[in-house]
Amino acid sequence: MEAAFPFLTEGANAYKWTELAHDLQVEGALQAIARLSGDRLTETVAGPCPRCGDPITHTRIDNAVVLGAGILGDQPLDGETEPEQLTHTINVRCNCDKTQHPGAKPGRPGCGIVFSVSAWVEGS
Amino acid sequence: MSSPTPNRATVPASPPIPPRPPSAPSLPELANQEQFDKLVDESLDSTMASAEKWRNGLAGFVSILSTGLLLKGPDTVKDIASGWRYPLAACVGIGLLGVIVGLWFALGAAAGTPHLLTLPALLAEHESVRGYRVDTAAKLAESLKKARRAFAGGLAFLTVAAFSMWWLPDATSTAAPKVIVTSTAGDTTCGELKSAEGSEFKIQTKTRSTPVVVAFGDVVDVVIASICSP
Repeated sequence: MEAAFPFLTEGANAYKWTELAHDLQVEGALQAIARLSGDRLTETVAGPCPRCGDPITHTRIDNAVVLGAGILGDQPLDGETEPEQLTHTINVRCNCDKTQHPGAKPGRPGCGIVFSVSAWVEGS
Repeated sequence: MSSPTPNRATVPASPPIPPRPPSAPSLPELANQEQFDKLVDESLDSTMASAEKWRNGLAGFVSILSTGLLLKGPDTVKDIASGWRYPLAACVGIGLLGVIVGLWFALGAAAGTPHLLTLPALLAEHESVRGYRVDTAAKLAESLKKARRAFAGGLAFLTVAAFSMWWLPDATSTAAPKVIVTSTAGDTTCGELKSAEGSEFKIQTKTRSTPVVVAFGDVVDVVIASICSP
């Protein structure tokens, strides 16, 4: 069975998806969490897609351990360079896999849209 | 008598929703995020590769330093005035300890310690397998930072020890002062005073293997000298 929403390529990141996502967040249907554990920030978003309404889940880690240049490295590992933030913006791509949206490449989940949601930063 | 106040169920206040993001995600922002996600996935592998290089490099340093200190150290220390040998030895010891501790941390980061881990335990501590990889990479990076600090501290002590050998007084310059003893017969004996006991001086001269003995009664004059004229 195919969904009524074709895979979107034009306007996939239009601001209206961010607005609709915020509305879903206000209604309590969409949950966005940014959990800080030590220096590691984990983003989690769960709820319906603002466009197709299919359930989506987004889990992403916003920290990478990278190699600094030189023997001493060029960036401290303590994360002291970033100011403490109360909210965190999460960019989410619809990845619903309930149905195959028309026009989507095989194996590519979602209806194509990308939106942003804000989350309070929780944890230490 | 007043009736007890009924318990009121407190409804937890739902947390306010954070403000709406001011803009939608831009395409370059999304592209950067996808590339950054690859860096997140490569965190553990790249950190372990770096740890192996650090371990090999530090092991090479330690082997060169140890060989040099073992082969040349004893001869070099012999030439140094005895009063300076202990501070110098302490400096070298602390330096060696520093580089070995550095190597130890680098070795720990590169080799790790295999242990049994269950998925529930992993999820309880790290929330996801990706979180586990990032956390482990961060721990390894922290170990490597300790290794660098210990090694740098050790190298600083060894450098101080190496440079100080250039200007520390050597053993000959702090040799015992010489005495010039003139006897009633008119002979003068110059050399290192070994003893002044039993009513006689024992003076070690350069020309004899055994000390020259001059009785106190035969001495006319005693002069302290820094060197004996040839």
